[in-house]
Amino acid sequence: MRLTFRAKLIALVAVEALAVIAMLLASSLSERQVDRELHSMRQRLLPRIALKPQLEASFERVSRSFQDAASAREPDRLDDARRHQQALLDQLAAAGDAISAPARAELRTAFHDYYVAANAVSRQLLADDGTGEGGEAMVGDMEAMQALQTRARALIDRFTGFDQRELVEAFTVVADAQRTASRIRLAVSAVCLVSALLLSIWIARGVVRNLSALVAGFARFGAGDFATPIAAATGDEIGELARHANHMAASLQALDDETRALLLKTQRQAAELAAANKELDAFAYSVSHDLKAPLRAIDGFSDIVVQDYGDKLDDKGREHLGRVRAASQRMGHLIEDLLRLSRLSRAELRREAVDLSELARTVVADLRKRDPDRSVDLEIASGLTTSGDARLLRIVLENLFGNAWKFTRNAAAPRIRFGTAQRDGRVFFCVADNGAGFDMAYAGKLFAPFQRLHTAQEFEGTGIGLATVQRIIARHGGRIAAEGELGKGATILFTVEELAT
Amino acid sequence: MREPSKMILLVEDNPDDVELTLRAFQQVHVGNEVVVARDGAEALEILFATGRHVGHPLPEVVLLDLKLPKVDGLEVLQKIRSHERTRILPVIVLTSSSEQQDLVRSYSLGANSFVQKPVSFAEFVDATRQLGLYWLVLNRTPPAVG
Repeated sequence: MRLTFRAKLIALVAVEALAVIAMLLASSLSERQVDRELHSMRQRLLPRIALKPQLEASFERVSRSFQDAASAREPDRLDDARRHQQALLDQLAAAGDAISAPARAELRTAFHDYYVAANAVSRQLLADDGTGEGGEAMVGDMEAMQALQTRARALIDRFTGFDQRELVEAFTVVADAQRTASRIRLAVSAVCLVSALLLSIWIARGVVRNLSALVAGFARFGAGDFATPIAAATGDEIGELARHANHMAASLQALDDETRALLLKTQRQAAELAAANKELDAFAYSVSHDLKAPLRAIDGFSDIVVQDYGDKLDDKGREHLGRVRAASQRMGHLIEDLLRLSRLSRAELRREAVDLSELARTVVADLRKRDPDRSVDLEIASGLTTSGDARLLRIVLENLFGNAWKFTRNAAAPRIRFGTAQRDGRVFFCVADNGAGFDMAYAGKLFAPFQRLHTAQEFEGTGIGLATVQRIIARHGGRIAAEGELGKGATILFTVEELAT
Repeated sequence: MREPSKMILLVEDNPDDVELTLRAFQQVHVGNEVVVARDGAEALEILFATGRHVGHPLPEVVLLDLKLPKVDGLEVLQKIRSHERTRILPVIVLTSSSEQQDLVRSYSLGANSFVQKPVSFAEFVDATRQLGLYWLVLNRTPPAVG
């Protein structure tokens, strides 16, 4: 079971926070320990330092009182000495832990001994009235008293001072506490840092491993291999991404298979179509050859009969043979037109930029050359261009202008116009004439093959022209329409490419 | 009036077309001898003087239909052009076909001319007149090799 990166990052932050708290806690605890040690050291050292001058001063007051009593011969001073002695002993008692109990006891004994000796000497001096009796014993007592005084002073010095061992011990305790504190800090910091580092490595390794799998997988997908899914461990976001990518690859694979199948089908259909076209070619060839041969025979032998046996026939017979020949020739034209139409449908469409205005001018020039006696008012707009098969578009214009030329034959002032017109918001090319026109009721039939709206006596033709035009326009993806009025003229509208509206 | 060797080979399987062609020649006063081959195989025998036509002289010009039994017209044309004896023989393809493909293939195989047989006999007679005038009177060919 893998965790999401989100969970991992939260865990990382939590561990870091805990680490910081632990570091602060450890730090503060160890600092407090150091403080405690320092405090205890101060507690022990400071009172003793303060005690020394107090004891010295009080002791001196005791000695002074005895001296004053002796020298000034004031016995009252002995009371002062006693009071000072009591204060000294009180101070000593109040010193508490500043000095040790044995030291206190020793000092107390020393003070007491001195007091007793000094009191005795002072009383002796007060009692002696200067005769100098018992002088020797006196001197001895005074010397003993002075020795006790010196000893007391020395003891004050000794017990209120510090020896080196004691100081070293005191500082060592504090230093130890400090060392322990920094060790704890170091250890906690190390544990925190290492845990954070391990956690980060763990997360990074997961990312890198999955990313590598993802990169390799996408490279495979890019190369079109959708079969092998991305082998990323699941559970985290990259795993999720990989899962989606695998799903996408499966869809693409399915789509790919489908496309392939479709392509195969299309290729098969194209092959079938090509085969069908080939068959159609063969059929057209056969029609062209086989149907025309008998027609040639009908026409040829009818002609020969007229030539060789014309004098043996009456007018009726000759006329009938003439009809046979005309019919066979018309059928020949129909076959040719039909073949041309089928060829148009099969020809490959090659699109290029075509100048329809220029094309129209050459078509009209041909018409004028073929029929130099006619006078037609022709108007061709310039700059009419499109994209299409020039060869096929020429056939379109030949048919449209041919029709207009033909159907304006009986017009008083024949006029043909080639330009553009708007219909349904779309721009159409149009060939308009003022010729025979047609009844709009038959507009739908206009483009059907062999469909004619005039008799052969009125206007010649096979009825294949507009069918041809319609087929060419359809092959270009364009639209065609006809508008007209009987006796007023006709307009054929067409587009060649699907123009943007 | 003309040398007897100026013979025309008409390769045509349709008897109606044979009859009409002969009639057209007659009408435009082409008096040359016309030999008719009814299929491609027979045409090749005549041209290479083999089989039933051993010793047959070479014609002046060949009128060749394309759609023929046994060996078709284009194959006959190819054989004519690939043999030394008939390599430079004038061959006019005379056919009902208006297929672009037949036209292109005929010329690329070395046909000298391609004429589509019109349905109208009058037009056919006119075409025959022009063919006769050009190929039998105006045109000059090097002396036959064979």
